[in-house]
Amino acid sequence: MAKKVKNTSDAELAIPGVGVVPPQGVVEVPDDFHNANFVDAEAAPATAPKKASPKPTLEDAKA
Amino acid sequence: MPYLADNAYLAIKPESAAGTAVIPTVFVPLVSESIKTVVNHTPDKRIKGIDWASTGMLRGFRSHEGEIVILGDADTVGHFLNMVLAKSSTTGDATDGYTHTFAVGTPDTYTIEIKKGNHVVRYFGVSVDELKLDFVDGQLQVTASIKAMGQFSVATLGVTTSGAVTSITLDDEYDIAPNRGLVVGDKLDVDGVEVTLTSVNANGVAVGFTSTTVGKSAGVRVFLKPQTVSLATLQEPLRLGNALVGFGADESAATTAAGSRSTATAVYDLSVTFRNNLFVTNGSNRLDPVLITPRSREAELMLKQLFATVEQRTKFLERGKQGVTMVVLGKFIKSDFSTQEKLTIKFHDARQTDHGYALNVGDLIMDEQNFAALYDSSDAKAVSVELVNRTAGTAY
Repeated sequence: MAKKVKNTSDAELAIPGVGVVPPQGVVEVPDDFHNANFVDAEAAPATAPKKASPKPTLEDAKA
Repeated sequence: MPYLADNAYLAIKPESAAGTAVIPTVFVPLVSESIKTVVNHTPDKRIKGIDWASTGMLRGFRSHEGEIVILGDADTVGHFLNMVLAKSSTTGDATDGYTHTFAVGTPDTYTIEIKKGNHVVRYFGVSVDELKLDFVDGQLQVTASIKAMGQFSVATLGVTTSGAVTSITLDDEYDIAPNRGLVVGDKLDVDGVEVTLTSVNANGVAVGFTSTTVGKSAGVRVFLKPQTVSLATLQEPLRLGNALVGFGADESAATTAAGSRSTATAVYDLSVTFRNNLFVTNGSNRLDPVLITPRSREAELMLKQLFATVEQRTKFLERGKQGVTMVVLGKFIKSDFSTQEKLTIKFHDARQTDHGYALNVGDLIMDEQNFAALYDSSDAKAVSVELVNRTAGTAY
């Protein structure tokens, strides 16, 4: 099992056994990874983005 | 191996409010530490109709204190200066390096974590009582004597859980607010079940998390899980060999003297100690210290130089004022090698409290000197510190 996390610090960080991650870089880490400099990169956004309203078509205008 | 010390870590971070824990994000390579919680337990000797002195143990006021020893690279030493002095300003950028100035004032408190085996000990409200900068094998070594307002490391489940739950209650044997020091985002191990905290309840005993089947009986162990280490690029420790020490009639003359190798004075040993003389007291509200605050600050300088003239002996006997400036240079920061790591400590009115120049067969005669850093009324300061490194000012 693995998950992807994002480096939210402003520094390049070395994770033992994983490698070096640049600022804002995303890296795959073991599931038990826990570090306050990183956030889950695959977490769903808090609110779903709004869908754009469909543009009116010619048929809509005729109706 | 959980018992191998090399697998441990020290992580630190300044707190926004003194004593309010945060999850540390700066991992600092550690040489040694000896921080402990002094619990002041005493045997319960109340009269209970038996002919044995005591039947249990009573809680006392607690304290948390000890030493941290690290090697002083230009980035790391900044955090420890920020714990003993107050940062005044930061200028510069990542290309040229950041210049931080420190002065006497109220320093930041820190939360620090020390991983030990499979759990971590978190101290919060950490202040530095004494900071010693000396050179061991020519490398800058920082020894910080710290005091903390509390700790969280281990606890016990207070109430049995069954099925999926969104919170647990911690036992009050250690403290009536056992969740103090925990932070949202922490991972707790509840007898093998891991939960990530989404809340730390104001009632002092409960912590919340997303629905999890814990299924444990009251009395099982709960502990704070360590983080995975992440290390920023580690710079070399500053070195005595790259230090320039200048003496002069005042700080300005001393700084000029420290400006080049030709005008600097060679010293063979050097240490600087800052003291905040922390006032620590227990009182109402907590079993832990409720107040840790600096009292009158002081600093001292110890050095050895060749006994080339009688000048230092005279200054000692006559209590003469001297400015002393030490500049420790490090690696270059800017790609064109025009800016570099630099730690500057200025003593505006240094006077010797001790001077020795003992004779030993075959040895050279040395001025062995201890200086007290006195407040200079004309400069309106006793010491000033400036640090150039790669750490942005947002870090402290």
